Formats: sequence, C-alpha cells, structure tokens
Amino acid sequence: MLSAEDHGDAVTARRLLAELYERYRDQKRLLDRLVRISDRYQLAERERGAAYASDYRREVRRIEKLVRISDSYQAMLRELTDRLRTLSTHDDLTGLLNRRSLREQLLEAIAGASAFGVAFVDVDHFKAINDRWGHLAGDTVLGRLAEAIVAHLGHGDSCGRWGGEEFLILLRGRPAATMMQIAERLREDVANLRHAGGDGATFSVTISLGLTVHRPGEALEALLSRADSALYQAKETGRNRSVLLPADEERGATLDHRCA
Amino acid sequence: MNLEIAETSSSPFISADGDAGRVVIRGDSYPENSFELFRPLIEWVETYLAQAGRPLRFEIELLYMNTSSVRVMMDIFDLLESAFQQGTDVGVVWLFDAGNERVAELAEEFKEDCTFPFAITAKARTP
Repeated sequence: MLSAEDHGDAVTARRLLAELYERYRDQKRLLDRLVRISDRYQLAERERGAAYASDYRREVRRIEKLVRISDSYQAMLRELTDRLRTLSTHDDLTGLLNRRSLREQLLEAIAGASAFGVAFVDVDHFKAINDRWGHLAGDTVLGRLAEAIVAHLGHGDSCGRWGGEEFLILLRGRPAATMMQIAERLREDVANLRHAGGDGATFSVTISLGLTVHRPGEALEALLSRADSALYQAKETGRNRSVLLPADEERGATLDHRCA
Repeated sequence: MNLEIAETSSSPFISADGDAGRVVIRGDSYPENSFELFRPLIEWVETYLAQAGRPLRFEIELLYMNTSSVRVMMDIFDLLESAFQQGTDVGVVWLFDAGNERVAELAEEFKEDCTFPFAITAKARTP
C-alpha cells in the first residue's frame, strides 16, 4: 500500500511527466513547421531556377529563329542581286552579253596587251523573215544564231547581241586568216540550219559578217567603224558572205602615225 | 484611335485602324532604326489589346526585312499570342506574290510558334 506521502509524490511525478511530454510535443510541432517551411522555400527556389532555365531556353530559341529568318532574307536579297546583275549585263532573248557589257569587254581588250579582232554578224533580210514567218519565228532564229555563234567560239572569245539582229564577236589572239575561217564555218553552219515556220513549213536564213583586226593604240569607235564597213561590203556584194578589212587599210595608215 | 505611317524607300506603309480592328503593314522594311519606326505601332497594339476585348486582324505584305525588323515582328506576334491565350480574337494574314514562294517560306518561319490563326495567302500576280 502506498502511504499518503508516496501517493503525493506519484501525482507530482505524473504531472511533471505530462508537462515534459507537452513540451516535447510543442518542440516537435515547431520542428515540423520548420521543416515544412524550409521545404517550401527549397521548392520555390527550385521552381525559380527552372523558370530561369525555361526563360533562357526560350530566349535562345527566339534568337535562333531570328538568325534563321534573317539569313533567309539575306539569301533572298543575294539572289535578287545576282538576277539583277545578269539582267543588266545580258541580253534577255539570247542570253548573250548585251551591248553595254560588250563595250566594256572591248575597252578591256583595247587596254590589254594581247591582239584581238572583231566580227559583226548580221542576219540577212531579217525584216522579211519577221514579216513572212512572224516575230516568234524571228526570235527563234536569233536564239539559234546565238547558239551557233557560241559553238564556234574558243576559250577567251566573247560575243553578244549588239542590237536587233546584229551580233558582235570578239576573237582574241587569232591571226586574220583564222578569224576568216571561223567566220566562214559559222556562216555555212547557220545557212544549213532549218527553222520551223509553222504548219510543217521550214525555212533557212543566211548571215553576213564584217571582220577586222584591232590596230594597237586604236580607239574603240575607229575599230567598230572599220568592222561596220566590212559588214557593209559583205551586204553590198550580195550577202551570205564574210568580208575582212585588214587593220592597215584605208585611213589606217594616217591613224597609225597619229597614235605612234 | 488610328495610326498611319507613310511608306518610304526603306520602310513600309503602316496603318492601324482602331474602329475596324485592323493593322496593315505593306512594303519593304530595312530602316536605320526599326525599334524607333515600329514603337508607335507596338504601343498602339498594347493599348488596343489592353482596353478592348475586341478582335484584331493583321494584314501583312512585307517583302524584304532587315534583322531588327524581323525582331520587331516577332515581338508583335508575341503580343498577339499572349492576347490570344487570354481569349482575345486575333489573327494574321500574310500576303505574298504568287511568284515568290520564298516569302511564303519565311512567313511559315514566323508562324511557327503562333497558335492563333495565321494564314499565308498567295496574291494573284499584278499584271
């Protein structure tokens, strides 16, 4: 049996224990809260980091897209520039050089050290072809003539459409006799071409050529004027022929003295 | 609430009509300062989208653009995208010449991240 005193001690002990337990519970609640809050901070930090990473990735994608689109625009402009350059230097119908580019090449050849000659090529009775077979047929004739001329050129030679049905060939480093051979072969080949006139009809065309050789120091206009005279002679003497005026003929001698 | 910026040799025609809910951008865009050129338009779009729940249509016919103009267009499409996400009726029609498919390809690039209606339409070639 417990004495009254003992009993009092036991009650006190139990109360103390209860108090202790209560304090322990409080501490635990505090610790739980602390852990929860800490976890929440950690989560928020992680989300913030993830958001930064996502923003960063998004910004990189935007810049990549910007660069890609910008590059495409640049490529587009480049293509346009190339197209415009071709348009400004070439003849639309035949794809050969145009008159302006030919003049530039002639001036370069004059400034250069190598010998060269030129040939004017003109379609005989071109107006009659257009009238009889139509302008489309006439255009086709010019296109095929352009192909034939290119086929007879060597490396370093140039040719272009001087205007209308007239072409100009620039032959580099060839003696006059070789130039004449080239001209004659071209003339014969062109005369042998058959052109479709529609409804199964075919026709052929002939060309006349006027050739000359550049005289050292001679100006462009004098050279062209002599080649033009040669062409005129070819036309006057019956067409479908080549005429070569040597560099030292006609006014050549006096010009030579002046330039020397 | 209208805005109109005249076309120059290096900048497009820009018009924003608040009553019609329509923005038109037409021409080439390679100005010296794209952000300066487009700032009034961006402010207009922000104001319009902020106050009205009304629809907004963009009609774009741009051929050449410099990099900063591309950037500005991307920003504008971002504004439209977030308005669309909040339920605003927005849309873009990008017109290109039938003969110039590359412009259509570029418009596709712009369209890529947009979820709002974005039409890329070929225009019959003007004779």
